[in-house]
Amino acid sequence: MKRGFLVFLLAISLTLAMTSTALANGGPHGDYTATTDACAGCHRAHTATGQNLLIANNTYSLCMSCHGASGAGANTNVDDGYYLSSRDDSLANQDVGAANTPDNAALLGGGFTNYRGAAVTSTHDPTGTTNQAWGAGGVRGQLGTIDDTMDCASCHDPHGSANYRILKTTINGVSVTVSQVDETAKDYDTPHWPANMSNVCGACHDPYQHATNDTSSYTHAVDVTYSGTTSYTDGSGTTVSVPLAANNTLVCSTCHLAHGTSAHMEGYAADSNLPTGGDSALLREDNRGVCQACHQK
Amino acid sequence: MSFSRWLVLLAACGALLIAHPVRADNGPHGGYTATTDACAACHRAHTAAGNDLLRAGSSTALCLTCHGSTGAGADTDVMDGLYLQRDATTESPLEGEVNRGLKAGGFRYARMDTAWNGTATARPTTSSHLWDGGSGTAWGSGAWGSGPGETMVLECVACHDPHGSAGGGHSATYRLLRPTPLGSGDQTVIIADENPKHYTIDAADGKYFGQPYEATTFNNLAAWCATCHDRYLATAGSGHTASGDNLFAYRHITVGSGCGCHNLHGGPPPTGNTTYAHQPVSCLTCHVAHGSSAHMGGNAAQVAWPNGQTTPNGNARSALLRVDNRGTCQLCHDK
Repeated sequence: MKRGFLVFLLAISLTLAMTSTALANGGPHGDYTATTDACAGCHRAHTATGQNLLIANNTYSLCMSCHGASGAGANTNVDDGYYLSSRDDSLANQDVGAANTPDNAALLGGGFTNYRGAAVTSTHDPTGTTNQAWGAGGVRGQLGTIDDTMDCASCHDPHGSANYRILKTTINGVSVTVSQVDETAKDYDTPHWPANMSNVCGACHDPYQHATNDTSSYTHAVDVTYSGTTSYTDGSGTTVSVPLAANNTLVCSTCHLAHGTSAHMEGYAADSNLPTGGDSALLREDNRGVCQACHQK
Repeated sequence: MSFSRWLVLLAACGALLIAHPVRADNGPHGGYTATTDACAACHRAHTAAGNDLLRAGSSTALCLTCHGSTGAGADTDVMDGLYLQRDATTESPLEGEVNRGLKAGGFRYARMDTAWNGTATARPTTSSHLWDGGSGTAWGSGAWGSGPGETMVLECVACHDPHGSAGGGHSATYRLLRPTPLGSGDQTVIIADENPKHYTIDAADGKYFGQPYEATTFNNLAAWCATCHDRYLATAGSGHTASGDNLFAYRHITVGSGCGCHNLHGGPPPTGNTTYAHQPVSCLTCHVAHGSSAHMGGNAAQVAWPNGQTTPNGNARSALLRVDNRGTCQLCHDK
């Protein structure tokens, strides 16, 4: 009787262990068990329509089937740059991040098509057609070639990762560590970035993160601690602000959005002689609001 | 006026307000909103050519990209000391007469009638404040009894704050002047900006002496010069009362009313020319701020420097004066 009870308990424990899949990276991304169902979320063994046995024509299209404007598999709409907890109700309904992210909150990374209700003015190109990055090759202000065309999977590992936001551990041939900070309580609209957040950017834009790798020009300090104010309101009541990472670290994302921005540039900030031709360069705020947030001239 | 015409008038006014954004300090200098574009006029976040993330190798080099002889970003050509219509904006009202001399003179050339013959001539300057980061002596700087003066490094930003709004409460200062010039010490002199701005002298014939200034500005400018040239600040009576300094013992008045030039002991005033009798006195009564093309000859060319040096002499001894030789004395004192 006692032996039978123990066997029963063991069976129950094993069953619970197999069915309570802790998807620490969210959705079908990572922490797979031996009998995971997640593969079928993205792949077809014999009837795939895209390379790597994908159920879409390419990586970008597959990702957008859940994360795009009309996607239903994920609450993070990276096309329009906002969170909505009802998006995944008809499917897994896991509501990852719902406890900490209000509906319609602007995503930390920006958007690829729209952001904060306006069309984006500059983005990283996730469609797999661009293989150049500013500073790749070692000179700031010049475009260089990266190791492959860029799509979502250039930066994010769809199979999960030990990094924050399933960022790949190797990008553009560079080993990348970006510490996880909110895996158990994801927050998609309030930055809780690790101090090593810039590492993902530096994998392609190395001389912007490591100034000594390009001494031909001067560059703003990155990965330094900053104890001053980061928010400024002018006389008309317009406020600009920039976020810092852990330990008050100024990182690339302090001024720039990773996916896309709807910031507008005009006047001197739209000068075609600027290195990026006067576009918004993924800046968070209009014109040079990111400068004013701290420097307050 | 009918209601529809009022609407048209209001719309026109609104269009003017939108189309002509006002910068308190002109160009990229000051009056910044939270989302200003002005930073990009002078700075590059990642591809800067100079310290402080400047687009040029030095602050002076940057200033001259707009304010130099070949600059196109500003109407004030400080190298040639001229006001030109060469930037993208036509100010209204105009801020100077085109091709006329700037009130401060020029650093390399100046168009001045220093010979007092009614003809403004563009000539190389014979003396100027340093402007390119070089070091020199600020005569009279320092405490009483401290010698001829302290060594200072001068460049545009030592005197002018390129970010403007240097007055109290983010207010604009006259010509972007820093309340405390860099390296000057601990004195603070805030000179309120003028509105509207006017950069050129009044005299079409190039006569710089007698250029009127607003009285408070004129007075404050003397105090501002003295943030570096401490011991030159002299109130009425300083020509008759020893200061105690062995070099700068008796000093011409440099601040205060022209009435201070009257003979304090009675009798006719030393100011014989009534043209200037009631104008306030300031450093700028006799001197220009940037550079002068005045010529010196005879005695005026041989005056030793406060440190006893007798060279450079000749025209190089013009000491930023507005008129050749000692015309600045004679035009008032009329001996």
